[in-house]
Amino acid sequence: MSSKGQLQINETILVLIIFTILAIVGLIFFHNFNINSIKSQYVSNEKIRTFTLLRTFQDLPEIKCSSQIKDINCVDSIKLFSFKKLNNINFGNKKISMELIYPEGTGKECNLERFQWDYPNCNYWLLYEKKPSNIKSKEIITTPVSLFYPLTNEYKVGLLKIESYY
Amino acid sequence: MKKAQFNWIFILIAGFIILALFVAFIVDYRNLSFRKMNTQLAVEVDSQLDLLSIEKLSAKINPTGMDQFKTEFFCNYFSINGGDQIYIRDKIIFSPSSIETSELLLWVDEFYFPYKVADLIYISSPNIKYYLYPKEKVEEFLEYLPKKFNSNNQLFNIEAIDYISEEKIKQDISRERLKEIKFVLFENTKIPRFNIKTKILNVNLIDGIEKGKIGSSYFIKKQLLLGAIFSDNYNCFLDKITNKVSLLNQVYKEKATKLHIKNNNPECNYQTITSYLKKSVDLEELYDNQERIFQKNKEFFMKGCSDVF
Repeated sequence: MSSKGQLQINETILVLIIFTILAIVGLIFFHNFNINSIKSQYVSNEKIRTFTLLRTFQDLPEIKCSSQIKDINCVDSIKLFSFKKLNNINFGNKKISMELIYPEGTGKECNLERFQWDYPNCNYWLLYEKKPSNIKSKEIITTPVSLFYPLTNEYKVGLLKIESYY
Repeated sequence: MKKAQFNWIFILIAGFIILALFVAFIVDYRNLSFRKMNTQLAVEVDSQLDLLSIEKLSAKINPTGMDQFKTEFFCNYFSINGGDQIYIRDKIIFSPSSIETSELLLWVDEFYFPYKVADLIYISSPNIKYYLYPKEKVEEFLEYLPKKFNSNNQLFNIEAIDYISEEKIKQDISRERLKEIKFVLFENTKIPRFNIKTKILNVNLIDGIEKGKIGSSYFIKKQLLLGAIFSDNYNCFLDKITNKVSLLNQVYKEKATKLHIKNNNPECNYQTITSYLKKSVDLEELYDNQERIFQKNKEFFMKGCSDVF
């Protein structure tokens, strides 16, 4: 083979190598674009689901008020005590809590073991908590709810709070 | 001559590789877009299911711009057109495992045992038809089924029949463009062969439509009978409901115990109800306690005590 022919083959190989490098760089960009796009859709979907959860959480029979099997539009404060212990629903990476905001309570956490001493004076229930090991961002949404105290037949104002971890 | 041949072969191979790369990019991007769109749709349908459960409505789901879509339902997940599977949490969705249709028919009913346990979601499509046989045994059940808005016609494609006429069913398949038929037999009979997907469910009524056997499983109340008719994953959902009843029994037992601790009125003896609120993995076992729990709760109310549920 002549030296001219060898030179042409070397040029072709060089072009091929450059093209392969460009194609690989393009693929990496495309892959990153896809990953970011999937992540942003995941966050957007999670937000939709969290808003729906905020709307529907208080309708769970595990916490909703009822009288003579008829649903009442409020949350039963006694049922809240056993929610964390008994419930096994996976709500994802979230923290769900209920707080009595009016009239103001003592600031004590309502704990199942301390029911006898603290109820009805405690004012914060931790209902669900699952934190990922690595939290990049957090979003908090809240809604007011009507809290029912069966022993005194009183309705108070509570705040349902959902913290989502991404 | 040899050099020219080599150049052509080289151009062809390199051209093919470059073209294949571009095609792969486009196909991959297109698949990703479809998957994202279908996942987004499934998330929105899931939210709609949650909201419909609150409103207790019947509805049709017909996504804009989609002539046909395929929905697959599992016990804990569902997906649309092969998009990502969406976790349905504690929702109970009675539906065929796979529906390919232009619109989904949806209805929500409440399940009490004796307190409210869950909202049951029923999903089917107009091109899946259910034949209930014989008519005389299902009249009460037909009354229960949801009707179309402002009409006496059934929302779902369900028909009670006196006898199984092969000719009539073939006409139905052709006229209604059915993709699947299901025979719900309350009495044994022979089913002819049809050229579409055909399912058979044998039901053995024990206490009217309140209690009965379905194959190796069972149903309690008409809500679960309808669930068994619709669902291909019935046993899994039955387990979910049983677990939920057992969980709610514990919730109300805890509540009764707490009311008892704080109660000063000797008339309100909450200990009388706690023994009936059992933790069990068998709905049939819990069934017998329903009436007693209901009566005890009523007694509290009549005596002016706080009722448990």
